[in-house]
Amino acid sequence: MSGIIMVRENRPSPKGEACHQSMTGGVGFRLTCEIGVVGNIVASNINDNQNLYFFKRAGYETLTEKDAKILIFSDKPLRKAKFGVTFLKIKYIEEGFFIVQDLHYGDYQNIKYFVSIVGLIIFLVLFNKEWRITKHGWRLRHNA
Amino acid sequence: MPDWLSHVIIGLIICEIFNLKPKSLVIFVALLPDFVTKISYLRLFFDIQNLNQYLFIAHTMIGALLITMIILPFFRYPELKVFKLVIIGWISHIFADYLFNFAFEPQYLPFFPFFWQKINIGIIWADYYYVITITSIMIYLIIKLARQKLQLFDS
Repeated sequence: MSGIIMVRENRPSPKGEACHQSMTGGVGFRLTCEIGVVGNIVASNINDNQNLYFFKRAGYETLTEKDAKILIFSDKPLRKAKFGVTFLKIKYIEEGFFIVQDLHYGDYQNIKYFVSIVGLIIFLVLFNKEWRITKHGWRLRHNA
Repeated sequence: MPDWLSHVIIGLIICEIFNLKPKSLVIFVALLPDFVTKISYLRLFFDIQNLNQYLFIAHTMIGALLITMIILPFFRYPELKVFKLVIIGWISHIFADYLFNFAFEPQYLPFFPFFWQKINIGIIWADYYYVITITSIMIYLIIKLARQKLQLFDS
């Protein structure tokens, strides 16, 4: 996922763009990893204007502190995950700078729930075909 | 996590390969850890916000044994056979879950409380869950067709 760069707040991006000074509260960002280390973060929110915010859970625990705020500069449009979180696999370049290598949206997927209901129905049909309920529990049907 | 259809199909594949019967018992346990996890939705109606952190046990080996002990009395069937099918069903569930990258999902401790290592294979992303659904359906159909061909050949 080239073209996306993450940068610590109040630092210029490698492209020379200054981060928005209005975005305050970036304190708490701390790095304890080695240069080149690949880590994972889970973002709870990415703004529509592509400059992001966030995040809750750090998959790579030594990378950041909880609730740190980072800016994202992206050539490609980023979107907010639908009722979910965004996952970014990042590579640490230097303090405050990362390259996003992989990006996945953990969207709430209605179709997954529909497919699961289909699975549940198949299970119920099979179970009913093989077992019958009695006073003493389920007994195997003779023709099962 | 995969969808429930994938869990059902993976259970069926295992039953077909190892010729296990009754199939529905394997599938029941292949779905059971997720059924147990869904108990957490009770928090919408009751003040039990911390319930979720205890339900992970359904995805552990000790949880599988507990589940087995709970469901065994409900089945009028040889205990040893039920136990075997329950363990196979649970392994099929855990194997399918562990194929997924846990970035979006809770991380499970399969050998809790003896071994606190979080284990996952992590080759599939949650947003590509359908890969495992389609693959498992295709494998199941191939096995079924192969069985039919073999039966025709034998007869």
